[in-house]
Amino acid sequence: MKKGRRFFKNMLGRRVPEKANLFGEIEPYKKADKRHIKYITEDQEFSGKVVNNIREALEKAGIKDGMTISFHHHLRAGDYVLEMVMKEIAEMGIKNLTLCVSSLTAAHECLIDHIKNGVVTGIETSGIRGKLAEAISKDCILENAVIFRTHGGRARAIEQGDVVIDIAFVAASCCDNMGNMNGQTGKSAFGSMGYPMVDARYARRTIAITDNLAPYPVYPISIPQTLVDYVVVVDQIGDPEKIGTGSTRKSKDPVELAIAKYASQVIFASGLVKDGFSYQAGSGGISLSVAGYLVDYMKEHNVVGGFASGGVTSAMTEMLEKGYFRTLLDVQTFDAGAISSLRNNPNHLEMDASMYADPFAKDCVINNLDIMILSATEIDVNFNINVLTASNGVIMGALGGHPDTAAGAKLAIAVVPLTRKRIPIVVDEVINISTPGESVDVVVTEYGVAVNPRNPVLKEKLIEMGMPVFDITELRDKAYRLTGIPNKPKFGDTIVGIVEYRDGTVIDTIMNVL
Amino acid sequence: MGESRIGTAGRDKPQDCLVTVDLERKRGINITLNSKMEKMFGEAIHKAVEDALKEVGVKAADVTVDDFGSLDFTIKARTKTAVARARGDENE
Amino acid sequence: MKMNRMRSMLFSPANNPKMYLKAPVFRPDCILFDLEDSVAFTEKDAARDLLCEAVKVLDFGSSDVCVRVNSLRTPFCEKDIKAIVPAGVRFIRLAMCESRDDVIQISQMLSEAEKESGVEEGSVKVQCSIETVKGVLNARETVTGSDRVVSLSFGAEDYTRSLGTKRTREGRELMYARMYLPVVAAERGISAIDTVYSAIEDAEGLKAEADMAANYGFTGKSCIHPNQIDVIHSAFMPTEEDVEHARKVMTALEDAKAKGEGVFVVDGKMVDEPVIQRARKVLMQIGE
Repeated sequence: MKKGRRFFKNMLGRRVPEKANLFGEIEPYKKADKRHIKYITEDQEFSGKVVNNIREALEKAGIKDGMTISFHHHLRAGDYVLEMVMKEIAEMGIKNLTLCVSSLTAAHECLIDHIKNGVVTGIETSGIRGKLAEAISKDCILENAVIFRTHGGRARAIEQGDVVIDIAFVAASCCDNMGNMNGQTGKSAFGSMGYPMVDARYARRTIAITDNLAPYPVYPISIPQTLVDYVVVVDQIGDPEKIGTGSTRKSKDPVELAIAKYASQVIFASGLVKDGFSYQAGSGGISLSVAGYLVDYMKEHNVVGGFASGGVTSAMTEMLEKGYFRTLLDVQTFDAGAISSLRNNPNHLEMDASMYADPFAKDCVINNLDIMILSATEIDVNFNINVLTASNGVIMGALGGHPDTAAGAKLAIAVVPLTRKRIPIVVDEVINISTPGESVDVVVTEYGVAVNPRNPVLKEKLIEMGMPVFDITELRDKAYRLTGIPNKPKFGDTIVGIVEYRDGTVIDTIMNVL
Repeated sequence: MGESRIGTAGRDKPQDCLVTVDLERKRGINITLNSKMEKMFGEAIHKAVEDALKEVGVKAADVTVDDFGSLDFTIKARTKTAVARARGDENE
Repeated sequence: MKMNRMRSMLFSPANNPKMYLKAPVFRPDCILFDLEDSVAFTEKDAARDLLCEAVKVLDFGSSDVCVRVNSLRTPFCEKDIKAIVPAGVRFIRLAMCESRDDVIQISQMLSEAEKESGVEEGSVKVQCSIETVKGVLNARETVTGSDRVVSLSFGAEDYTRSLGTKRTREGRELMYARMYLPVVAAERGISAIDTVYSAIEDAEGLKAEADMAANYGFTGKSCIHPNQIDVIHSAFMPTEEDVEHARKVMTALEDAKAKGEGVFVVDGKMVDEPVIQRARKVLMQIGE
């Protein structure tokens, strides 16, 4: 110990040195920071982080012009929260906000007015649909181009600081007064909180909005109190009818059944269906039918899968319950049956968007994925897929986890009808690229399949099996012979959308439609 | 006979179309198209109607097509049926 | 006379544009476009026009095309024939076919239409649809009415009505017709197509009925939903042994011809004409 070291007394009367080796400069103990009321006083009852209403939360969180705010879309078409919050924000006279949302649904049309009134001037999302999408595509109401990101890409952007969220609004169906929350219990239960789990970790402020304030501590904890600033209790966070209806019934349409049959034959030919394999599919009728064929095969060959992931539907939870898969990894829960499974089945696991698909995380689930079934609005002769814009050039869809899973899966199969009414689905060139062709291995239509030239072995196998295998240009020609070659949409000069690939690079631009 | 020279064929159903042909017109072919597919396939649909009219020897007509995503063969067929009905080649 | 295999005939209402694209997807051996019962009287013209336009431009893949024309006892029949022959249809099912005279009449109509279109006489083939008591009893003579007749089909609905009884699941009311018609067809060397099974959801019932029909000597079955096609195809597929035997017979036949021999033996049994015909039929059914 050096001579001449100075000491002084702290508030408790103890000697502490001015400096010490590893410690450096020392700050002596001052007054204890009692944040909470002790039992013996008569002060107000402790309400934790609960504030009286959304307005109060906004004021306390310091909402200002030009901020970036976030919402999740786990409540799907039944969401009330975004509309409620935006209404308050607009009434406060706030302007120029950027919305960084996981996606937008039919429940978010209120944004049209907010955009026209200058409350919202930027949107970063996985997708946009309906009237809002049309208004952006055709009427160019939004000042800045929309940034479209995949689920994995959004997680990456948040984690790497490409986006800085000032305030995250997190709807939760079950929340305690300190902000521990989940989406699994409560009248408005919606299942996994995969998307906002990332937001809450990085947002400057996180506000929980719930219609079910439960006793402390709530469990399971999807987002812990350590990340939450304020809690607002409202009457309803969403419409339970519309929350729990994300998936479809098994298809009865002969065309879809034919596609499903061919797709399952491709899967079996790949040799990937063996013990421990992993699988993911969309929620449409074709995917459900494929799952049916898959289960029969697994039963016959005594195969148990390691995990199925998604986008989890009750069709998948049934497979889990019957023992076809050991686990389910759930980033978004689609229907009532699946929500119940997440709550009750220990093998049905919640995962956040980063764990799911972040390309710059140390690893992510989709890198372990064997088989992925994808849909598409259009596919071109280079196997590029469009899920964002319709054949008339108008925005109408969402990237979702499409490009993520296609990149990660060993076998990515796109299932599409050759035409939808008069619109050719296999085309010369897609209007916009959402998923680059190199990630897409096989295209399956009701007429037969086309294999990406990168997979010559698989192609040979399918031909050997007697499957109708075409060159993708033949499928395009077949489609055009039926429908005629469509006129391309007329685009203007305004950029209404930028399509960002998972890694932050830009894959395509969406122009306004005239 | 005094029959009205208007005939309609087809149905208001997906992938079908409703074609109404009025043979009252003296000169030229006038086609009114109502279709969500107009931007993508407008010319093709017009041509299908014109070809159909030519094939059944119609030189002048007012044609209205309400299209619900139908292919050319359907448009041609419905046009021809509408013409036959307008001409009074009825079913018994 | 060469005929493609016809294990399944899928009904497709001719006035429905969607069906023209959907029907070939499940690869029935033959698509039966219907101008008769599934089309309302006031739409007969529309259905006919739609069928003709479709047949001119669409590719039905591996499926043959057959058109069920209206019965001779309606004014639509002649209009049907006059329109579909120039459009390219080469196979029709004549509804309510009851007598040799019916066949002669339709054959004449077809000849006129073929002449008009510059098509070789006899190109259009006929399948007689036997749907009444009279039709069943006359079947043996009916199918000799013309060389165009390559097939007969059985329609249980109208037959049961003309018999004055009700349809049952076991189908005993159809037994006589079901046993007689394949015999008629075999004598004439034509194919025999069983009636539709309307309970679309009942795959087991369909299989049972199709197996039974195959046992009775039918060579195929009409169907009303693509889901039924696979079950029907397996019922009317010859067994492995049949196929092997058929191939042996054909090989032996070639050898015998080459050696100039008239008679030969396969698997220890003499091969006569019926055996050769059966072998040909088997191979045709698997598409060889």
